[in-house]
Amino acid sequence: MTTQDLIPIIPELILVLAACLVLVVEPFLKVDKTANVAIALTALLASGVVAVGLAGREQAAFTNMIVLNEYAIFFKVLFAAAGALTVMMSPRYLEASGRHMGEYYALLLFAVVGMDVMAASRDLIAFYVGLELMAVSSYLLAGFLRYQVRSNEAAMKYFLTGAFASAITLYGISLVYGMTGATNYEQVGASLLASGDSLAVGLATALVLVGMGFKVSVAPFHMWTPDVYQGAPTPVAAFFSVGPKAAGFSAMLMVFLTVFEVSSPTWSVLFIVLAILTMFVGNAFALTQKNVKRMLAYSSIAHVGYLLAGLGALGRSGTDLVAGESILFYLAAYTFMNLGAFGILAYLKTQQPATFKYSLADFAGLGRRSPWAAVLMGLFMFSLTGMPGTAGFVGKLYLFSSVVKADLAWLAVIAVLFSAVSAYYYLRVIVYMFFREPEVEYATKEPISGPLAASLALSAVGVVVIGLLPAWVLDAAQSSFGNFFG
Amino acid sequence: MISPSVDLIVQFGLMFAIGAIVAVALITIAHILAPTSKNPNKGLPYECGVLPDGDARLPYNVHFYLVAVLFVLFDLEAVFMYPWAVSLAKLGTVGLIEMFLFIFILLVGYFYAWKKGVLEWE
Amino acid sequence: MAEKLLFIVFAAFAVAGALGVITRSNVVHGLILLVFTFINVAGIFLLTQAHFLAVIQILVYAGAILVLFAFVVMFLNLREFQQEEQFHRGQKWAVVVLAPVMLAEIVFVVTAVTWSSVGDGFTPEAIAAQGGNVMVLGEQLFTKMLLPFEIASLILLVGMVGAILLAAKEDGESVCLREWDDDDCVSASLVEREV
Repeated sequence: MTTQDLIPIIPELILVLAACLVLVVEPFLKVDKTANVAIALTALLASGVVAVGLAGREQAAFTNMIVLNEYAIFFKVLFAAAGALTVMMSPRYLEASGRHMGEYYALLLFAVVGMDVMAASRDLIAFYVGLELMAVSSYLLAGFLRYQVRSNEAAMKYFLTGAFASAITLYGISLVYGMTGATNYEQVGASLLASGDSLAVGLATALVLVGMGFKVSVAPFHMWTPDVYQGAPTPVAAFFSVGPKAAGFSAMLMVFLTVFEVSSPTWSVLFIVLAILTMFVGNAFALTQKNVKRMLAYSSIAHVGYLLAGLGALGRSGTDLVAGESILFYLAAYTFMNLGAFGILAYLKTQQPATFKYSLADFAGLGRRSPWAAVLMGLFMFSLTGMPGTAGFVGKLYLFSSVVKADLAWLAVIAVLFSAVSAYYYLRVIVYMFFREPEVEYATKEPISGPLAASLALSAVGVVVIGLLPAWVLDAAQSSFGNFFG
Repeated sequence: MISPSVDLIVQFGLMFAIGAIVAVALITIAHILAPTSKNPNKGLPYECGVLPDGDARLPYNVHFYLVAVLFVLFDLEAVFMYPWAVSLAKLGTVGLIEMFLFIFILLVGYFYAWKKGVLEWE
Repeated sequence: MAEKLLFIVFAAFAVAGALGVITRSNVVHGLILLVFTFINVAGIFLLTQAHFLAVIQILVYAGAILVLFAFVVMFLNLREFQQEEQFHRGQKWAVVVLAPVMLAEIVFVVTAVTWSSVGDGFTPEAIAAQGGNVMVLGEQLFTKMLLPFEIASLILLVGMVGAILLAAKEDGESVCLREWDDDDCVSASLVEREV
């Protein structure tokens, strides 16, 4: 190890130091946790800024365990943004639920560190420890509201399925190590290419795919998702739906492109089949939900389906990485719109802690009660549907056209059809907000907290800016893959 | 000359045999030598002379569990120290720094647990 | 020859112990059989020259982890637990289907896969020449595997924080300032008393 090795992990070092600081400071804070919120937020912003500042560097560190390149930086910035937006929407929510503790922010920072490691790793062992760091932090965040049964249930279900998923992934990794005697992505990939595709490689591919499928909630491994999202504190559910999911895709992209290059015919078919199934399950179950938080959970499964179609296309398109780029773009767009939608839920819950149950009926008349919240929610719903002018539209446009480019036009048609179906349950929320009268009158509302308002505003700005000026995000996504095959 | 594999089996066999003999012998000797009493009250658990009441297996305070978890975590930390200690001569100062970094991170946790009052027993 | 014989003994004991663990309805018996299984697995590790792993198996699994299990057992109301049906009816059919699949998979992995774990050059002879198992492990851990090793300490830290967060005793008063869901909100003092 040399000091040079530390440069690629400066963003993570900042986060780790901040998380430790939060833990040390926490016991000395009585009721007011503002100091810890400030530490966490500053660290996330600093890590994002430093990551941007590192752009243009290409460096491998820690004996090729992790690399610093545009790809890693893209995700580091994305994760820092998702983390910062989550931190901003959390304090008021946690205060309202009577459990505002600094550990929350420390766990969130550790989860972001794990996600960063996943995106930057070039070694199966580094990838796995990153995954575990993220996962263990996530289980605890899901169960953060210790005295609420639903939160306990969420943590328990997340932990059990997550532990199984980790074990399955690890089994696949161990098979790969057994066959090649290496853990470095490039080494393993080259070694497997030399020995050729076989049933054993297919088995290892499938095991890693299933394990990671659990993590990013691919149907039929999605069962935990609605319960966990519903039970977890709303800001945490917001974070789960974008952070660990994007991290899972960042690692899957790299692992399947490099390690399992030889079995790309196998995994592209698997991804296409799972994509169709996931789109179906996500959209079909979202249609029947009367609870908006649960509906968003199923909608996140549907979005994973679209992304899987992109992964399937990627396996088909050989050295053309346009599908990979559009996945990155879609993840960025999705981060803002989904964080925004969950942010609105968190806001409404802090307004009516006793009566708001996330049900559709609770949204009736929201357009009159709090027009701003209703308008923003409408924007996020439009974006999730994929209406032109929003980030969701551009994301779907790029993603589906990359699927068409890979000669999978029929798959793109299926995806578009499912998107059309999704319009029903997204727009239903808007109908309730603006065209339905509430059954009961709600009490006067409290003022929104500053950070939460900022979080919602930034998400909305992100959705609109990416929707109208997608070029800069697309540039970043394209340069992420840079000279991948070069 | 005894071949290494026969040697191995002799060693293991001897170990098992001695272990078994000692265990069985201790129990048997105690059984023979100890004074026995036929009174059924002898078999009852001792509760300061009062007749035992209820189940002996009472639910435990969750605090015990917490201490056990902390023990496991620090035990795992100690596990990493064995290979470190063996190869420290080769690793040199860098190895020392690396291990101290590892311990420092766990020290943060220790400090946190201490200040949270987890180690105190009311 | 001797190794093979010892392997068969250890493996048979380990399997027998594991079978006992899942068939005993008395949790404490299962626990003791689990220790027995762990010790036999440690024996198998010893035979494969993985001395360090064998020691860890005893120290961490048969020692520390089992203590943890013992505490969990003490939390449970064993009397009630024993009366409950241990297996779900549908589960039995799932076992009938899944167990052969699992067996076929293991047989396939053991027989059909070409293993080349010597890719890193870690043959038993090479390890012995470099000063033995623990020495090589230490060197690898603090040079090549340094980053995962340090991240492992972060995972341990998160585990510590999590344990304290979920199980530590908190101030006696009600922790829920506002009751959100009808019966989802329990006061801390009540929970502590239940424990």
